[in-house]
Amino acid sequence: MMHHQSHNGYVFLVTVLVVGVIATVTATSLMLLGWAAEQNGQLVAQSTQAFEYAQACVERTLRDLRYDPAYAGSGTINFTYGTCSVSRIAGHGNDDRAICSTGISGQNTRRLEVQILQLYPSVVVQSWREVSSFSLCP
Amino acid sequence: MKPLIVVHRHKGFLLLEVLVGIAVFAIFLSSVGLTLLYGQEETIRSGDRIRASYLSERGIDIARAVRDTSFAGLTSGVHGYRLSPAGIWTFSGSSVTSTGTYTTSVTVSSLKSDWVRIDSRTAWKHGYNRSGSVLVTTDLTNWRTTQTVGNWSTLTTEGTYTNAGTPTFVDLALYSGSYVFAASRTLNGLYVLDTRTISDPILVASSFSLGYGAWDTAVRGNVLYVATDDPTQEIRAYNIGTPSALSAASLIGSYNLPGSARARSLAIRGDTLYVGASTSATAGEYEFIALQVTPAGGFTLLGTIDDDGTTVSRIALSGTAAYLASSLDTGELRVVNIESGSSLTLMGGYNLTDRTLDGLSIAISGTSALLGTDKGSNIQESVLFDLRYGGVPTSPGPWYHEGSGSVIGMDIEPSRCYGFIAAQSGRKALQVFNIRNKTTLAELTTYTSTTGLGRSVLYDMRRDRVILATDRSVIIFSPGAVTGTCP
Repeated sequence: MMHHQSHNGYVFLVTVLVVGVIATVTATSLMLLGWAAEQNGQLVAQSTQAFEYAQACVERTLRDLRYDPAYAGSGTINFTYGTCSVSRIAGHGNDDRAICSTGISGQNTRRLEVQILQLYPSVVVQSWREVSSFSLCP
Repeated sequence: MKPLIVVHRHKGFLLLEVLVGIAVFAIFLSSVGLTLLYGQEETIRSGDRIRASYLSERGIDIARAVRDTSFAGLTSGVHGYRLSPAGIWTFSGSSVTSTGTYTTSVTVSSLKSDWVRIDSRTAWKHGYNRSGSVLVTTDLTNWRTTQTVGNWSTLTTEGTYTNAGTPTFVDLALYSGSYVFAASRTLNGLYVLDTRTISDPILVASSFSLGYGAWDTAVRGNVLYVATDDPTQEIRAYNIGTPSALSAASLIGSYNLPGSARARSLAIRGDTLYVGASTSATAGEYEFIALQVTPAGGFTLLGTIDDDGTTVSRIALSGTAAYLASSLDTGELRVVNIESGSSLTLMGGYNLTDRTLDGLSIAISGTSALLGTDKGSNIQESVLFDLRYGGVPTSPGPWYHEGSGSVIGMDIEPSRCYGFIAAQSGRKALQVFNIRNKTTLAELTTYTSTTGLGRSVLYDMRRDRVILATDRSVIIFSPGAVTGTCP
């Protein structure tokens, strides 16, 4: 005599569990992707801000240089969401100056290197570019 | 005989399993749904923020465009913007709304008359929970102005400081736009003048004395470098952050040149100080030295040039070369390659074949170099070189201008219309001449000193003033009205 038990319900339950696990993994991935996208948005905003902080330091340094061509730079300026700093300015006097500026916001750092041919009678800029590391400043 | 199969059926058990399965599935489904929803919302929120960042940055760019047109256009307040029919960005209204209901407003706050802060904020609200704002901040300054240059065919004495003694001023340096440091051969050796009120230069730190005569000065940031007669501290570095408080305690460093009291001239670029010295045939006593300097007053020897027979009276820098006013009879202008401070190389010299007189002064602006020499008969003491090819000057040029005395101080106005000479004479102690018309180098005007010989001259670029040092005075001149042309 053979005893046979019917387990149709278990099959369904196991199937549900497997499908559920797959769905959960997929959903978690999507959630992480969404979170990553959100982080990316924050990153873009902070990166933009860091770039504009670096620009602010260049602007202020150009003003200071026009006021006093012997100005040597070096220093940090605090803003609401970050800082900018200027390295020691290269060159001396009216001709051939270089400004190296770093803007920081959150974990983002942007660097600008500006090469100036002359300060007076009007500022002549040879290059104004973003760099990964400075090459013109001491 | 067929086996007997016994099937145990538990009534209702299958239904329970299915119900449990459906419940579990429902839980999975709802959590998956919620998670998907969350992820989608985060993605959308991120998109909102990224778009707002770009719109805020655009607001900054437009403020910059307004500044480029006219700094006066950056009026304080909250602005929107628009593109005018002429294709020029202007402020308009108090905000601007982009497609998708992103609203950007640009706030301009004045920090100084030539300095504003720009806050560009973009806000959005889409439904109940999709709202936010992105703020981007920067500063803009009025560095794009063109400095007008007055008509230097006319000299007007605007302010004078005269010392009771005869310090014999020999060099002038400007700090922070309005403090003049005057080096002298005798008495205090260094004088500080507050010229914020140009018509009334005031001697400050009057009790300060170098204790030795000075030859030349150079300023870098808050540090003043002085070439002195001190046999053990030829080069001194002073902190001049507060010029009126200059004292012996302001000395932050010094450098002892080999030999005794040989320093004659200084020039600085970046953190490299170049020193010119009196000639010496002794080994190790170099005529041109490069020193690495620090804001704290540190000195480190980088490189040297041994150029026997050369006393370097003055140094001017251009590109990768240093131009030296030299006493060498066969090379009144010496040129040193300074591309590497630790590897200086003498490129050669220019011999003014009509004289064997010392080069005494030099000034460079752009590709124009002025060399002044000792007075001689039948020669013209001011010589203009064209440096367009760099290195040792070649043709075209040079061109000559009568100095009416030994030319010991020179400067060039940056638009390169006017050249200024301090001549070692009372009559024509200061001369102004046109350096743009090289063939004539016409004299435009002169100043006759009643306080001794002309000694040094400095053009103040920011204020469009000329500062002359004589034996006893520092005199500030203003030009005639702006004409917009080079006379």
